[in-house]
Amino acid sequence: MRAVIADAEPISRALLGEALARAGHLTEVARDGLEAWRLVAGDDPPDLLIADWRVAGLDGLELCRRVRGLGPKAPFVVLLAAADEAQAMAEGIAAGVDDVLQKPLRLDVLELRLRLAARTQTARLELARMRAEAASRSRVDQLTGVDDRLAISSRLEAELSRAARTKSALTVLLLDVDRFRDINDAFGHEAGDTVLVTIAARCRKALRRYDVVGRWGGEEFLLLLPGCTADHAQQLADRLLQAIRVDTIPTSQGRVAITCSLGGICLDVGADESNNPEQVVKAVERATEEAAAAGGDRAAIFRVEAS
Amino acid sequence: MSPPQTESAPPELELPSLLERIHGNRQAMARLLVLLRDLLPGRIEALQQALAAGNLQEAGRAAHALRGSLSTFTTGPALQFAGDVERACLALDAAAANAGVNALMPRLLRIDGEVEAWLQRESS
Repeated sequence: MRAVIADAEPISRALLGEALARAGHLTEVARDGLEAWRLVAGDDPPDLLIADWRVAGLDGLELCRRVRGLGPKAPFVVLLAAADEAQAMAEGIAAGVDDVLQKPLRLDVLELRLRLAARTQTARLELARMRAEAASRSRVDQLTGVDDRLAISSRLEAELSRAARTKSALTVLLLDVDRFRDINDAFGHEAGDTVLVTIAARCRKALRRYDVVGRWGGEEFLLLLPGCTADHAQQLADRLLQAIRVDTIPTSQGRVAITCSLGGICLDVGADESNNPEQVVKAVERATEEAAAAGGDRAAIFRVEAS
Repeated sequence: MSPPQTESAPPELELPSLLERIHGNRQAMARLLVLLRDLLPGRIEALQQALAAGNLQEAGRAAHALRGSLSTFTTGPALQFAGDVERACLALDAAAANAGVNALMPRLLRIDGEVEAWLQRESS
């Protein structure tokens, strides 16, 4: 486990460090409550937070209240209080701490409680992982097997936020099947479904392992290409269009020739739109309409530079 | 002011108990005692300065910090006096706080001596 200690008292910190090291845990020391919060709320949160209830900046109780708001990634929280600070312990439990430890600390007690903390936190993370897995299973488009609209929407939000945080580029594409209504009318809905399944599979095959494909609705697919800059986006779009048109699609009613219109925007590092998923979706929808209006089987990709 | 030291006076620090609490690890014990030795002068100075300035809120915080540092090593009179000073500061009772410090100082001098003696024994 990785632990963060927030305690202004150097002797307590030394004892905690001793116990954590003996148990094989990695330890980071926060100068005050605010620094502890920054570590806990960061990208790589610790498994365990040990905070004195009177630590400066942000006391242990307030830290705990904030940690409880972090959801599944919240660490196991231990509140430290002196033996005559029973009120703090009661308030800590009300604020949602996982355990309270009385000062002065005893290494043997500390080590036992750390074992309990590790066991509880492992079970908690496993539960969160299973929940996430169950949630992701229910967020798969039943026809095509790619993300459904809800899943791809949250992936879009997450990728935009990641691009802003890691200062990296992101390309978002919207793929629309040309004349899909005609295909449905001519070959029937079953053939139309086969076309959609095949297009989803061809998209996944043409894209990189870490790109994301989701069904946006009807015959539209939203594609997220993390790290893809404007220079590469056009090449990738051409490859995608080629992969879709290269072979006719076999259906129960015969082979169907398919083309698509692709609209996209490439967000440069620091682009303002990085924080606005709705604006990004509107922009790719406009770009796709433009590609379709120009006759389809083409891509219209725009670059959004940092302001 | 002289420490209330007699031949039979029990030690201020409960070092055997601490050693037992840290699994008999004498190196860890030495690290903790060095920390205490280095911390005490600053803690005492902060408390005295705050009291001299009449800043009882700050003095209360300093007394709390001192009590925190001592609590790992003793449950005896020094810890009780530090607690008395903290409570007096919280009650904004400067006279009681000063009286508490007067009672505490000889104990802290003895603690300093006991720490030095233990460290010297270990290094020899």
